[in-house]
Amino acid sequence: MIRFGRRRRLNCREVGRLLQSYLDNEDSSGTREQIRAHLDDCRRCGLEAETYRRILESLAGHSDPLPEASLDRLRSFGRALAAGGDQAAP
Amino acid sequence: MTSEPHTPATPSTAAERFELWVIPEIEVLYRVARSLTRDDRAAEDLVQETLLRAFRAIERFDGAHPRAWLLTILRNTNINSHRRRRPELVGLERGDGPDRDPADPDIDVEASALAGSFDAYLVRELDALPHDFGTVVRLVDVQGLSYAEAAAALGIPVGTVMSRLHRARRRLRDSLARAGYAPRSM
Repeated sequence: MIRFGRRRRLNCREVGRLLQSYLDNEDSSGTREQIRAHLDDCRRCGLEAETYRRILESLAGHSDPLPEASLDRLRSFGRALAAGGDQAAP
Repeated sequence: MTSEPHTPATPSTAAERFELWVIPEIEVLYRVARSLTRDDRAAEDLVQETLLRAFRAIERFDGAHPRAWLLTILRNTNINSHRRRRPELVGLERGDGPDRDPADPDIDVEASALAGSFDAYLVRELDALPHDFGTVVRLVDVQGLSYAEAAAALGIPVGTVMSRLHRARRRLRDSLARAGYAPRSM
């Protein structure tokens, strides 16, 4: 078995399973360094990661601008609640 | 003796608690409500009802993870409002809705040319995802919620959020590959 430092190298299947949580910074497996090393070394997995990064960047840019009037009404409603209780809210 | 206003470390009154824990989350609540309802007016009504319920419960809230607490209220409020409006549809809320065959001939290179760009094609494919998949993508990838926050908003385990999200992204990725916008899958 190949070792990476004190830790075993991950194979493509393992990286594929962990990749999306890794990209979301939601991985809890303690394998970030191993995943990063694999993505640097493996062209296929590196390309896969880049594809998902592009998808995530595109999706993050699709957040529609909020209707400001609605947001203002909701903030006013919230502040009226805080100021006077639920009887005072408009 | 001075009478300068002070900001207590732990808010003691309902108003202070509401100002500290709830008001800053209104925008996130509204974004999530829009993702859940896909309707601006319904989203506003949903957030207003959520704020009212949160105010009534604020004395019992310990201040830990206010966003997750509020998202849980919003989710329950949304379910209740569905029951009031259309009781016959409640049982369908957990369904996957219309699904698409992975071999759908509509997804092809010509479609990508019509869509015009990677971004436009991705939006189209996001709209075509089954309801549960599309919702979790909108909450996490578009609105930026964490897995735990999305789980609170949807009333499902974090593991289910991860599973739906990762499967949904793979569908998007595979659609993009079929249309020539991404390399073929591993």
